[in-house]
This record gives sequence, C-alpha cells and structure tokens, in this order.
Amino acid sequence: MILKNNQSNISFGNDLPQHPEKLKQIRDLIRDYAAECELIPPLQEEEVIFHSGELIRKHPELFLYQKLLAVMINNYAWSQIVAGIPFNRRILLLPKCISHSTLCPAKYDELGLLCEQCGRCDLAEIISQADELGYHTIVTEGTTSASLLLSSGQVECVVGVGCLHSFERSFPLAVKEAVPSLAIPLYNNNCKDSKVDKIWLDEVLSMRSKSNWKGWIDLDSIKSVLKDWFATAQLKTLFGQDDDTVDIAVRWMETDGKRWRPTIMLAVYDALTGKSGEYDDTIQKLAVSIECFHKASLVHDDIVDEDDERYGKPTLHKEYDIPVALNVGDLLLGYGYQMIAESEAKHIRKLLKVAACGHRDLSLGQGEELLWRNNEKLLTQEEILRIFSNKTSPAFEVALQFGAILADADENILNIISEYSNALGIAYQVNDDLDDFKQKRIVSGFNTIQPSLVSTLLNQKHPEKMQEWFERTKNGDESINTEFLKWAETRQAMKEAEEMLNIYKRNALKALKPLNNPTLKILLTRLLNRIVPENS
Amino acid sequence: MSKQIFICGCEKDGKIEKKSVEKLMSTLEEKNIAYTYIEDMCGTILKNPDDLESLYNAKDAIVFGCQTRAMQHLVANSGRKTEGNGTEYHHVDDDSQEELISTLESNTGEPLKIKYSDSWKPWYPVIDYDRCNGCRKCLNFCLFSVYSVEDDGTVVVSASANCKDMCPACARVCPQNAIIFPKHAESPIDGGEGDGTENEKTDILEQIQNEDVYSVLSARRKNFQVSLLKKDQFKMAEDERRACCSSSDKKEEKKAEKCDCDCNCKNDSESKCDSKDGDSNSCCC
Repeated sequence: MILKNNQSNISFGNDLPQHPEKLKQIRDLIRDYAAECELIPPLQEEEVIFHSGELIRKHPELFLYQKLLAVMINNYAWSQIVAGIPFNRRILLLPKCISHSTLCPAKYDELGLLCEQCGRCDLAEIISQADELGYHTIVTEGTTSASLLLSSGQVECVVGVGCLHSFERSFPLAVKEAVPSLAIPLYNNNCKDSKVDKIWLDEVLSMRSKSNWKGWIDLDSIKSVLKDWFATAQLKTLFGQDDDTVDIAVRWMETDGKRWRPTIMLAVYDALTGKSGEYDDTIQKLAVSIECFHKASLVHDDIVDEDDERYGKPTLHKEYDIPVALNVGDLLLGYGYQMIAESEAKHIRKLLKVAACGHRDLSLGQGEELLWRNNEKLLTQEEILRIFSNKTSPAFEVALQFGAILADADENILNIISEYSNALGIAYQVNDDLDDFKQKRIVSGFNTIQPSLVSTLLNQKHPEKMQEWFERTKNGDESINTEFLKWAETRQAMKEAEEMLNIYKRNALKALKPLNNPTLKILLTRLLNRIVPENS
Repeated sequence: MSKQIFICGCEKDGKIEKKSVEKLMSTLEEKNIAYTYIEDMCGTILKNPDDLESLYNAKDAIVFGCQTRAMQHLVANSGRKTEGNGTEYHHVDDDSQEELISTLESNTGEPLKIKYSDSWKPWYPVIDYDRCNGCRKCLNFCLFSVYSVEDDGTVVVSASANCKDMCPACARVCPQNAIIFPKHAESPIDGGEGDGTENEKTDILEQIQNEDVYSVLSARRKNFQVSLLKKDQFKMAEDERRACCSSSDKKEEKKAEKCDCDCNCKNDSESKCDSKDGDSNSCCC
C-alpha cells in the first residue's frame, strides 16, 4: 500500500464559493453572458469548456471556479426546457453523503438509501419538498444509479445534486443521451455530512413554466405505431395485389429487423412539427417506401455477400433461389417508388430526388467494393471511407431527409442532416465491422471481413503478412479464422479503428452544432448513441 | 513455544468496546501472560508498518480485535506477513475467549505497546482476496482513485489516504462483498459475516432497464412507505404488548394484595363484605 500524504487533491478550478449570495451572483453573471450568445442544448463538453473559458477571460477572478462555471452554463442551456417538463417526469438524484454520517437509521436497496426522513440531516426537508411537487427522488451512493438511469434512454429529465467530481463522471453520459438535466454542486467534496445551497436547490426544484415542452420523442411509442404499419394485412392493402411474388415480398418486409429507418423518419418529423403521434396516410406510405428500399438492398446484399442467414432465418436466395430473390428485391424497389408517387406529399419531387440519389450513391459505393474484390488490390484508408460513406450513409440520410422534408424543413436543416448522416453512416459501418472482429473466430471466413477499416489498416502496415493470410485462405486453411483474430496486430488495428469510430461519432455531433432547434438537436444526439452504441 | 498475544484497541474513532479490551488485558495480566497492545492496527499498518514486525514474523500468534475477517485481510493486504505462520484472529467479545485464555501458558513478559499517534483517522478499504474476483467495479466506482490494477490484473488499494472518511460506497457496489472497512458500523462491510440479507438482491436495477422507469420508481417509493408504515405498526404493536404485559403485572400485584378486611371482594365482585357500604359498592379496599 502506498500512502499519499498530500491530503488535498483539489486542483485549480475545482473550487466552490461557500456562500449562497456569491453563488447567486455567479448565476446572474452567467445569465447575462448567455443572453449574448445562443446556448442550444445539448452542449458538448468542449462547448461548455469553451464558454467557461470565455467567462474567465471576462472575469478573471472566477478562475478558481472553472468547473462550477461549466456546470452553471450547462444548467442555463437546459433551464427553459426543464421548466417545461412536468414535475412528475423529473427525477431528483440526491447524494447519500448529505445523510448524517453516524446516526442515519436508513437502509439501502440497490438504487440507494431509503430515507426515513428522521430529520437528522437536510434530506428529510429536501425530499418532502420534492415529494410535494411530484418528483421521483433517489438518494444515491456514488454514480452507479445515475449512470443506469441516464443510459436507460427513458429518463426525460434529471435534477442532480452531487460533488463536482461526480458531475465529471455523469456529465458525458447526460450529454450522450441528451437528457435535459440540471446539476447543483455540493459545498464540500469530502463525501461526508455534505451540504447543498438550499436557496439554489429550491430555485431549481420549483422551476416550472406555464406551457409544457413537447420535445421528448418517445422512440418506443413510434416503434409500436410502426409495428401496426408493417403487419401483413396492412402491407397487403398498401401493395394492393394478390400474387405469389407479392406474398414473398410482404413476408420479407414483415420479418423483423430494427425498423430504424422508418423510426428515425417519424422521429425527425415529430421533432420538427411538435405533433407527435399524429400521422396520416402520406407519412405511412413514405415510411413503408423507406423500408421497401432498405429491405430490397438487404436481399441484394445477401446474394452479393453469399450470406445464408439473416435474423436467424435463411436468406431469401437460400429459401428460394437467386433469380427469385433478385426479382423480389426489384419488386420492392418498384413498390418503394410507387409509395412515394402515391403519397400525395407536398414535396414529392424533392422526396423522389432524395430517394434516387440515395440509390445512386448506394450502388456506387457497392460498385467500388465489388470491383475491388475482382482485382484484389489493396484499398487505401480514403477509399474504404468513401465506400462506407456511399454505401451506408444514404440509408440513414434518406430516412432523416424524408422526415425533415415532410415537416417543411429549410435548406439549412437539410444540409446539416446531410453532414450528420455522412458521419453517422461511416461510424455505423466501422462499428458493424468491429463486431465481426470481436468474435472468437471469423464466422464466415477471412474474405468476409474484407473490405473493412481494420483490414485496410492492416493492409497498409503489413501487406506481405496480409497476402500470406489471403493465400492460406485460398488454400482452404481454416485455422486462420481464429488465429487472425488473436494476432497482436489485429488487436492494434481494432484499437485504431475504434479511435476513428469515435472521431466520426464526434463529427456527427459537431455537424449538429449550428442547429438552433433544440428538439431536433436532442433527438439526433440520442439517435447517434442508439444507432452506434457505446462499446462495452 | 508459547503463543504471542496481540490486542488491537481500535483507538482512532474505534468501534470496539473499550471495556472489553480492558477486561481482556487485566485477565491476561492476572494470569501473567505477556501481550502486545496495538493502539490502532489500521493506522500502524499503514503509517508505521515496521512497528508490527513482531506480528508479521510471529511463529504462532493470537490477535484480538474487531472482526476476524477484517484483521486477517488487513494483515494479509500489507504483504509483509511471513507465509506459513499460524495466526488466529478473534473478536474481543468472542464467547470462547475464556476457554482460549485458559489454554495459554503463563510467562513473565511485560506488556508491550505499539502507539499510533497520527491525527489522521485510518479509514480505508481492505480487500478480501478470497472473495475478490477482479471485476474492477470498485476501481471504476471510486471517484478518488483509491484503487488501481497491477500488471497481473489484481485490483489493489494503492492510495489509501485518498479514501473519504466514513464513505463505504465501494463496498456496497462490490458484488462479492469482498471490500472491508474495519471501522464501519455494520456487517458485512466491517468484515463480519452479515445477516444474509445483503445478498438478497431485488431486481430493481433490471426493472429500470426493461420497464417504464417512472412506474418502477413510483412503485419503489410506495413499497418503501408501506414498509415504513409496517415498521411503525410493528413498533406500535410492540409498545402495546409491552403495555399489556406491564398492566397484567400490575393486576397480579393487585391480586397479591390482601384486603384489609379479610373479605374476598378483590377476586369476587359478588362476594358480600360487611365493610361494604350499600351505595358505592366499595369496602376498605
């Protein structure tokens, strides 16, 4: 055991004024600062740091309080939205360390301390105030409960009391999930008999505007709407033909899948119009058209990749044969365009163009990959990223643009969506490829992990060795399917690919910076984390 | 060779009964058994580990102090104990203490004292490596970097002084109950065996992930309030029972009283008593 004698691990910027008046003074200062620049939530960490830096530049005496400033700026950005959230949708997280360090009689469950409101500490008073308003209160120890709640994706609002250390832990998660949240730091950092500024807390707890904020998009309820739209009977009515080939197509459409594309289309529409849950035939037809394009591309993809299974069932060309599968794919493309044409949407030409361009890019990306396979040359990093951007981004982009176009969004928003989709598509593909490498063996052979970012990185560094792996595969050597994944260089390349994945995720968020519609910004931030989940 | 005796007094904000320690020391002195008194083993082992050389190297030793598991792992965590030495650990309030002491040979050594004079309260975690599975939950959980990982993957307590006094939070998140805070008030965090309820996990964490968060939280609150109510009711019932008992005690006392006038009216309301006056139906008693 090493004993560190330096008791204070307080670094600059970690300080907190010990008087409510001083805290109030700084809050007012931030309000004045924020009036001059637009703070649209969710703010990314670097934005919060930037603004606290600006404040310190203007008020150098605040340099001790850098972290406090960051917390307050983030609070300010969210305050209006939080005020529009009903009390009974808010969760209050209080730290266990407020409780009496020796005389607290309370027991614990896995979420935290079950306060008996004995009155020995401040918790009783705070909790009864919060109860009266309708808050759900949890007294937590550490940040485990907070992390769990934030990452559940269901929490609509959090008011958190804690030390600045604990905020550093939970802030990134709150940003990722774009949860409207306000944080109130404790006066002390030593986890014992802690105190909070009750005036500030009171101000925050009772904050409530007259009108409700309607920007929380419930993805689960969208998915349940979609479930009905993709039921066999509904699809048959839409397609309107009774025919064996149509039956195969309907069944293929109906078979599970995440329905991400229709979901994000509806979510964007909801976010921009603020009318969640009110859908007409136009939207339904467009949602089905998007899924038609997607499912058509899957049929064709499975043929190209020689995959035998999808969703744990035989692929279409395995169940029937390649010509039948090809034809069903084509039929779905036909239906997709038909649905757009019959949708009676206001901007049919715009929609058609978006869909057609998506198709074109998809085929170009796919084309580059197919031609690469034929001539066996090594791909560069730029080439593989271009393939990804062409091949994967359109599917997301078409869905997002459809939602935005339907909601009459302006060019500015459409451009932002375009940039966001590009980064999202690349991130999605890199992540998807990485999943193949995270297995114990390559399930369907060495060639199926090419081209991928990992193999491209390896090609660049170790062309001879990669050629050797390739030759061995050709000669039917199956042992490399496990050996290759254990290779130290493969692990290293995976690490690099993961770093690039994070860069593209960050790029997607950066693209959202100029968005001044918080509802859409919040939605797209959440979607990124859902579509490309954090690696665990 | 006779056993070497050590007693830890847990003097720095300690949790063991001073009386028990004093009683043990006087018993030993009466029997002329030499012992070493350690003011605070948690403190000394961290600040002046060399002072405990005699304990690490003792061929055969008995240590009296707090929870046995706490002391055993505290010493083991120091990494200085000579392997293969027999050391028994006993709680100062251990029932079998007398029996144990009776088996000890008396010798004529003077009691020794190992002082702990630092102002810092030695509050820090001790890892029970028999239980730790290296999951690193504590490492990720602690905000103050008390834990770190060795090259071989072992989780170790590397910055004990960073630990916050009275915060046992990492011990609560440990799925193996492998983290001990010897000075903590409750078992099993203090190294005790616990009452078994600490492993009774509800599925609330799972519910939060899979069900509607708000209804789960509302239900939790409601259940808790009901349990508090029950606790109150239980307390009330206990009070009532106690009240009952004491009032029946009184009755019995009354029964035992004898009527001055030798009548039987205390037990039999119908009995005639000469001393009774007709209206009030009461007699001498």
